[in-house]
Amino acid sequence: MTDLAFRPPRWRLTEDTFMPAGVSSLATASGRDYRPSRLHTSLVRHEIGELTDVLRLDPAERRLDELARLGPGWDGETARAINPSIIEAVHDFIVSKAITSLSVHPDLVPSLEGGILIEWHTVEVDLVIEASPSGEASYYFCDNETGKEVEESLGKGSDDIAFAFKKLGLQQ
Amino acid sequence: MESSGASPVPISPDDRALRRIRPLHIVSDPKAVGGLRASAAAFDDDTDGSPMSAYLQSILEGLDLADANVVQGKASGWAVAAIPVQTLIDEEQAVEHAQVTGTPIPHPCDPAHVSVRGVKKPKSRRDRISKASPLVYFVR
Repeated sequence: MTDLAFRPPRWRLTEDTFMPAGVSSLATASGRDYRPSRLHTSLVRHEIGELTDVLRLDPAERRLDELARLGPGWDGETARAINPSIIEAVHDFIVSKAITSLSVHPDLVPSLEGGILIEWHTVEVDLVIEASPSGEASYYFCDNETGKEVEESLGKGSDDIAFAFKKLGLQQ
Repeated sequence: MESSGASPVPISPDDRALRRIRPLHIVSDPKAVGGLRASAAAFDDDTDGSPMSAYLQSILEGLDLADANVVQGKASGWAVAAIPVQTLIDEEQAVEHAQVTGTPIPHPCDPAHVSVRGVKKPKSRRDRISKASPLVYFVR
């Protein structure tokens, strides 16, 4: 079996990062033993020709798998490939209970610099979380009813993120 | 790709800059016409600093070309976003005519090529540009 080098990411997008006081949160990834994710397992198996696990992934995970396969210059110009540690961090985030419990599912978009944008757009709010290759994570939030815009590093302005998540709603 | 140094074409704020949008950069938004729009990621400069490219609609019309021609030769899923030049001005971007010449495979829209120069790093800026730029054509 192919032995891929596997390094824990320098930072993690966890529910703790996103769910401040006042927003219900289930058990988080904090402190848990680090283990290869389903996505990583599926990528390893794909390396040796087994596609079954890839095909079982849900749409967001399939998109993440697609992003993981982008090579340098994927835009036909100078776009950078996405570091596996970012893929891993985003995967763990989007499969977390806090995210899968939302009634609106995010779109995952590659940036030219090798990062990933996690985007939710509704009538009420726009929320874009960016996992950048520098190791920084940031967000942009817009309340479409008031016109209020916030752009901050993750961990700051938690009330705005909590508000956005409430607007994005819980599945019925 | 070379840009011509010919006399600059005056660009009206009422004009539109048409930008190619790849399938990976199309996101869902119920506020957008048809429920889809371009991500903010689609409105950035190249990583080598080359400014964002687009094609000026008024020049295309003068060449008897349409929105669809911007993505001529592209695969299914590609789209064209129509960016109001006024929006770019409002977001502190300068639109400069930069006709493409000298490429191995000329594209019919090359004479209408423009460079959009300015700081694009705030996601808020790129998202505002995106919200103002409907997708006007999809390659089926």
